[in-house]
Amino acid sequence: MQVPVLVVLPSQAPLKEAAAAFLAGADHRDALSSASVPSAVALDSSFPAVPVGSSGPGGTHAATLAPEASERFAVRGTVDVDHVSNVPTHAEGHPIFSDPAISPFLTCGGTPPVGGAGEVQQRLKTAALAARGLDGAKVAVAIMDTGINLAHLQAQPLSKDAFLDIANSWVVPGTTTTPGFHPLDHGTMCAYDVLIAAPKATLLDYPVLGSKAPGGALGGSVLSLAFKAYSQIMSSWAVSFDPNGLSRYDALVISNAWGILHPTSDFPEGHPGRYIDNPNHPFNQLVGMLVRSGADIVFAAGNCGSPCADISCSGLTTGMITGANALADVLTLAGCDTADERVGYSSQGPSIANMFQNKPDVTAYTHFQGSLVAGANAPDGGTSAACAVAAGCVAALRTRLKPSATPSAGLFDQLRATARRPPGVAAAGWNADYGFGIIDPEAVAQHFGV
Amino acid sequence: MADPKRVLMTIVADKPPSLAEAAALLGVAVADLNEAFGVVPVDPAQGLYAVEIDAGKVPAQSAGGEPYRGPFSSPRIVPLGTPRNKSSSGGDST
Repeated sequence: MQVPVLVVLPSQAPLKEAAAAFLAGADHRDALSSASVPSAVALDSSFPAVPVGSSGPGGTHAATLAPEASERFAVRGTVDVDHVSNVPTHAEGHPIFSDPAISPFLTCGGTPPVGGAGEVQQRLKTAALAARGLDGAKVAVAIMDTGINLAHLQAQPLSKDAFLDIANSWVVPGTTTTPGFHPLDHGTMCAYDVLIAAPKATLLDYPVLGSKAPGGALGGSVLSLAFKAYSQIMSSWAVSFDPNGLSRYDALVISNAWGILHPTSDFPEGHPGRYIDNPNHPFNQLVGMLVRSGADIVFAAGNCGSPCADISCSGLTTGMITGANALADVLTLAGCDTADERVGYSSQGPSIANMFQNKPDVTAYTHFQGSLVAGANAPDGGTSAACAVAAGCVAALRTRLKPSATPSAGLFDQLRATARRPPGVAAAGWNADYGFGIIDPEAVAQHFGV
Repeated sequence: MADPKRVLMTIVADKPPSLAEAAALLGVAVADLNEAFGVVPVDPAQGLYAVEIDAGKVPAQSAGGEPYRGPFSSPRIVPLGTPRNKSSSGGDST
């Protein structure tokens, strides 16, 4: 095996010339190639000679780091050994040092925002989408969440034109909060993040996670409320055909930035009525019906990824994409920051046994400064934000891609096929961290010619 | 395992049943069903509907042939916002 190493060599003319050339911005490789290097080391001429000063008493001073003054130079190369433990300490008397691979620190829950909504727009090429007329006009996006605060959205420059269809939103039975007037919370963050790529999409408020929902608790609810909400959407979108209902829209996208609290909140393993690993659970069946009626359904993968899983995951990081989040018919989102690095909490595939295994499908941006819902220094985070950003991308594409001509499965196939390969991922295809890669709606638009 | 107060049941009917008709198919009292949830179509073409029932009132299953299936779980669901971990300062999940 070839192990990368750094070797420190005594000064010699080619090393001085190579170092000086590099510092001057010139090509250093010719000079370096004539340097005398131990035979056990294969020189990497792409790496310059680096002055490392003197080894004498008093240590290294700045003056000794000049190429002409330095007594020693470090060069990079490889040694051929059968195991990394057999890398020699010296080559022909010259010390060898390790050159390990390094990677940036992962973004985790406590990390400050990485970039802002503007960077997300640049990464998604939303200007190019807008130039194609892909802005979400006549597309409805249902935010299945804690409820939307429309005034907050309209106070933010990016979402100042946010529009909410109150008549086609949902009031949880037994509650009185008017759509768009919910407390500032997670649902407003998701609504904002949808509008990053689809500024003209029409929002629908479905507060299934609201604290005032029957049977719900602060920051959560129960699945039956989502079930009821889906039934309401199904009725308006695909059954009643009321001209004032959802059928007035060209397309319907449903953003689901939620999941179950923990597997232990479900029936025990093996129970035929369990939700998380049961495609025949009635909620999962209803999701499938809605997809077949032409809706695009987007889910967050979850926040149980290694090494920064949410504390509610209780240390479980495998098989944690569950329930409807792991259905083949939906688009399941992992999260990355605006540097294209996976966030350390994004749940990794494969899914829980019995469900569609190759989840997540793709990755979208999260952990950026966006909605300011939780304050100026708090990110729009979690795979929730990634889900909402991706829902906006789907809505933008739906402006000119009608579900009747391009069903959800075909659109999602292209989102997977055109996803950008993330940094450090050499092979094409699916991988457990990013799915098929980072979402690229402009590439999908090019593919379909819209 | 959590102890859900209510669970889901599916019923098969030729036409959309009322809550009372759903209760009759299940062999339970109307009061045992969640009126706010009502009768929810799952796959009307297949005559499949869902109701929510008190967990303690779930009808017994026999060898088969009943016009219903269940119980199905209704676990707690939560937003998937910025996670909390040991190195973060806590707070909610937004």
